[in-house]
Amino acid sequence: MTKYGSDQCSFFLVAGLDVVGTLTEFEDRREARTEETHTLGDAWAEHSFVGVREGEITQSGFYDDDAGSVHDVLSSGPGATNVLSYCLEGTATGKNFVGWAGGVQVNYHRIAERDALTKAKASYKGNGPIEQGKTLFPYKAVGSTGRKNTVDNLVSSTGGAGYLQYNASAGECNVRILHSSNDVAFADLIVFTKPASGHAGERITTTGSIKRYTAVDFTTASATGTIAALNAFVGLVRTSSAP
Amino acid sequence: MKYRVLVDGLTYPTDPRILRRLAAGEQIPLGKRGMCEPHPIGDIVDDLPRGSIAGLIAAGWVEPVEEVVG
Repeated sequence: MTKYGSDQCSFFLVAGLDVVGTLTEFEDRREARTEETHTLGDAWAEHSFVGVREGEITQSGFYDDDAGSVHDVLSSGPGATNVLSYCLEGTATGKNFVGWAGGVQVNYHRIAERDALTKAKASYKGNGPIEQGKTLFPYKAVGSTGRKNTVDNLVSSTGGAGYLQYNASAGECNVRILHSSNDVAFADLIVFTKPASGHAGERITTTGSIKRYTAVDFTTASATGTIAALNAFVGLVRTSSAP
Repeated sequence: MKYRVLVDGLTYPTDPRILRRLAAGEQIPLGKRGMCEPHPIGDIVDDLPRGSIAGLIAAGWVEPVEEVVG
């Protein structure tokens, strides 16, 4: 049994901005919608899954109005839909992450209390799949361009989704997920929209075969200059495995 | 032998020393393998790692190019 502590919650990304440093708690709740199916003559209640799942995240922590922090992300957010990603298992490449294809921000609370620091809370409801994948590049500064370490899935699979979240101060770059069957020859699997100055999250699906090994490649794109101060996260969800 | 690239971004190490180390099972970070520039679909290549060719053909990533003798 592997246990994880709060120190291993390595990022909580909303549209490319990491707010984990302001949070004291968040809860990701998923539920299956059911309908009561017992009838006259039944002595016990019965419930059946109607085929629809839903998710909700509630977060709470400290109010912080720094640029790129929680107030910046959430104050204009109610009603907005963003890609959400978080990791509870530390900073290593290959660890599990959770991706929300879309999280509709439902509310934003600022809470002032006597003899206490001001707090901030928000919640999101799912707008699309909520899925688990492997971290190919944990959220951190991209110190250099080039291909990063490979993640070995042991088997190939079919279909999936790539997640990119980034925050950049200037310029433009290319981010691709590569795959390989032998960890020697690689080809493009997913090519993300070029990150440029600003912050955003993107989820791109693929229906084809995903080979056993995957990796991320960052290269410069020159249209608006070399990218500067890029922080990024890249992850890959495999929807099914095949031998 | 030459091969036509059938997938976008095909890239691989070309340094024989790196290939020997990989074949021996050594773990080398991807950024330190001296990978070639990614090839677009349609490129003709003649420097594929020998040990990868059969797998690349089976995966449909490359195909042999008939050489015209004349």
